[in-house]
Amino acid sequence: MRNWLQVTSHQPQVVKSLSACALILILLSFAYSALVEAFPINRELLNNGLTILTTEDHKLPMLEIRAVVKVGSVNDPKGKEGLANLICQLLVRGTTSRTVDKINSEIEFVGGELREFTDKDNSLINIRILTKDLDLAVDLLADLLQNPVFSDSEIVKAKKEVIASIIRSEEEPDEVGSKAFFQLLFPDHPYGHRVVGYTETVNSITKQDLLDFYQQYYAANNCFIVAVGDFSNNELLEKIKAKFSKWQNKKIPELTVIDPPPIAKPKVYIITKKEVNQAYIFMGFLGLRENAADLLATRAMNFILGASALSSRLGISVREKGGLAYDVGSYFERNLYPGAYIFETQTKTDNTQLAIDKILFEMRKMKDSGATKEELEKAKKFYTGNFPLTFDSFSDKVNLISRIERYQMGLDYLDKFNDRIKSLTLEQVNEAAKNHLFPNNYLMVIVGNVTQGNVKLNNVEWVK
Amino acid sequence: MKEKSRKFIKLLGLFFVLSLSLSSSVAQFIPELKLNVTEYTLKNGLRVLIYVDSSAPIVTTQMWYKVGGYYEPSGYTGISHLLEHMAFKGSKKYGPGEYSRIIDDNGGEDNGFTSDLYTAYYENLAKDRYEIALDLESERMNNLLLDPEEFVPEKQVVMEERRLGENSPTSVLWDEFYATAYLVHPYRTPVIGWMDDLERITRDDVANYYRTYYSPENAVLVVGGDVEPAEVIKQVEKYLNNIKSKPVPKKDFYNAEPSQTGERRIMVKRDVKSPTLMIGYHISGLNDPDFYVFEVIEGILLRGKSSRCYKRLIHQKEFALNVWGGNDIQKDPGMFYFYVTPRSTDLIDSTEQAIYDELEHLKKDIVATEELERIKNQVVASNIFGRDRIQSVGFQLARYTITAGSYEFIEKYPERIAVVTKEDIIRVAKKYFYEDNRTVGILLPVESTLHREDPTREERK
Repeated sequence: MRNWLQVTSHQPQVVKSLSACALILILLSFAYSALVEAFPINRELLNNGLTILTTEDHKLPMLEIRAVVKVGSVNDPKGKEGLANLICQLLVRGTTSRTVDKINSEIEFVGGELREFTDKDNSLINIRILTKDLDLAVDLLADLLQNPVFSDSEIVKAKKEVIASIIRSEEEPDEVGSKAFFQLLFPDHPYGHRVVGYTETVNSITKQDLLDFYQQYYAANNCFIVAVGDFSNNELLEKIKAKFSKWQNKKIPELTVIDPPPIAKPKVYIITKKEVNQAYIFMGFLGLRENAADLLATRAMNFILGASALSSRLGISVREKGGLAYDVGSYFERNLYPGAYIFETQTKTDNTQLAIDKILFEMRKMKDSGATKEELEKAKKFYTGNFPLTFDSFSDKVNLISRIERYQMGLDYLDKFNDRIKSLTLEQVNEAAKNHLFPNNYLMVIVGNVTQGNVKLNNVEWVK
Repeated sequence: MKEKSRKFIKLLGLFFVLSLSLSSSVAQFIPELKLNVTEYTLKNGLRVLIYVDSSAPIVTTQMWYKVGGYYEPSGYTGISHLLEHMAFKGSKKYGPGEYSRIIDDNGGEDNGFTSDLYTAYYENLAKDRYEIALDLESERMNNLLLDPEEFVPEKQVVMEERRLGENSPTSVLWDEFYATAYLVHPYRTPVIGWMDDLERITRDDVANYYRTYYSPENAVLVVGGDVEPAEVIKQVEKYLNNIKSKPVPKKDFYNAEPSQTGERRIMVKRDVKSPTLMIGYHISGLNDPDFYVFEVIEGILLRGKSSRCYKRLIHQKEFALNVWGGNDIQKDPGMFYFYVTPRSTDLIDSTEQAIYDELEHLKKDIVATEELERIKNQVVASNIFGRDRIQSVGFQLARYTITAGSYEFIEKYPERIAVVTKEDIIRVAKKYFYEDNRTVGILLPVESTLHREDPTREERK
């Protein structure tokens, strides 16, 4: 359990996923080098609508297999925020033939790892296991998805756990700021709430809510399975068919999501916490969706502007030259619907205004004057050179395939990536800056020992 | 958990021959998994470990120095880490900003990190480019500028990093817990340093420290991935052979921590909604045979949802939201600790007592064979999983070369786990898990007071 090698690392992880899921962690960059071929992905569609994507990789006697259900917190009904997450947690807590103890002891006895996870667009169950235990993995996955029992006692326990974790997350200034930022940026929008929901809404979830939601969204045609590892495609496919072919196909309710209204003038919300000795600054606006036409141009633009705390324009200005912060950067979510485009930093209280000024300055400069040819060339070199590093593990590959399938990026996505990067023009990148940066129409949330008096901004709307 | 710098990453990947008491179904997977390492030492004393894994066309290059919090004189805590930051701010050949530019242009990933016993730098690049990394590391070892003008803002950056830790209540608990558990040994200080020391440290202090410790004979270089060892040696010699060795002051004396003669208990009050409980016992270091027994005990108590503490605290009693911890894997005697988040302040006592009950249980009752087998299966599986990423294998090779004297520690690990007996567990539990050897740290909401009344009979059992 000890994944904290973390040793006062010199270079912060700038692309912060909003959740721990590696699914989102691929945000930054995968690119392509002429030298390196992408890995092959085998895609099959069963009669009941279940999609199966597999990649053989025999370097170690293990595999990673994941079922992704295309439902996430974006599908939470109003007033029941946290429902998708709660269901996913309950999937691994008992089926018609396995108790929660049996599930855990079966997988852990063979040294396997079982994990469930929910984000805005996805709910998933992931298993890592040695090849010799492949059958157990498939059997377990099929059972968890198709035969959950949602027992009363487990519902009560899971709710308590989620609520306790919600309360706990309110202790870290980072979490407090990010939660407020999303609520204000996405009023009346399913991306405005956290995946875990709120204490009251989780409390209000009934067994019937769980059963209804499960009935609506959990179906073969709303799910896909991804596996990477030491197996033969055909053999695995047969095993999956044997366990999943009876799973029902259903009509899945369609979701209508309307983008939040644009921000007319800068909106600033300050959360005063006296014992915090830095200002945690979140600025941003609406971004774009994963399969937007100008996504790649926007990524390149953001690479130049703020992706790295060391070498991007923002990093050089705020950290490297300014010495104002350990971490500074900008990133945008890449989801089904347009998500947030966020600029973040933390600086000691006295430097709050200075840091804000620098971020706004860089944002304006990029929007008005764009990037240079040299900067774009650098970005291209980065993406192409970085390509082989983006799938050097089983988890990387599983994550990548999951994204490609979920966001309909196309099975040839990796093969074409190189050409698409190379063909990016400065005009496209500068157009992206014009279309996606809003230095006069942003939302800003500040957490810290700060009041309105510490921040000198004209013509802004103060959120109470 | 950002600042928990003293903690080593767990033995994630170990790959070796293992038989003994493992079930046959597991053992058959092991023989194919020999780690392919070539070890080589340059004339100037630099140790080079070359690890071949051709499954992806990438190479990780890692330079590890035997310097960190452990070596810092009093009043200069954090100097190793400050130097690590400055090591990205330019050398004679590559000025400020160049390191990042070069790595970006090649699509690479690089970073540095500091711990008690080492400071490390790495570059991950496509396999045709690792020469770049060797060049950068050669410059870093011998020719850092440590430019006074760069030093001023960089020190501010580090102080901001320190503030981030201060703003995290759990980081504060962690720092104070270790500062309480150890009276003398440098494990008591956070690697990032105390703020007052950071204020004091000058550019010249850092330059002296650099000249003292950054020497070939004080470093371990790992080159891992899709490489030919002979070619690697050629390249390494080209870039690193010319750096002269210089004697490095040894600090190999054993920092004897006076044995603890009574429970130590601290409280940290912050603006939190719910408490955190840490309990720790002084144990042996990783070069003591009991080390492996603690690894097994960690498996029994804390590994996975079938573990005893998880089942009891979270599943059955619902006292806690989360529990983890175990052997903190230190060279000198470390801690076996529990990090628990009780659901409310009312449940701190019950949670604490439940953990003590589990420890008593360990001292009295023989562990079931199946339970022991699970732990051993988990060790083998997680070792294989851990070999997945070339960079992580490189980390382990260097880390155990420095802390255990040789990377062979990793290869021997499973055999040593396999021979741990049920009796060992009882013996070790009795030897170390007793009240006077314990430190307890509690993070509490500001307004709360702890009522140390007896928990209900039922909870106490």
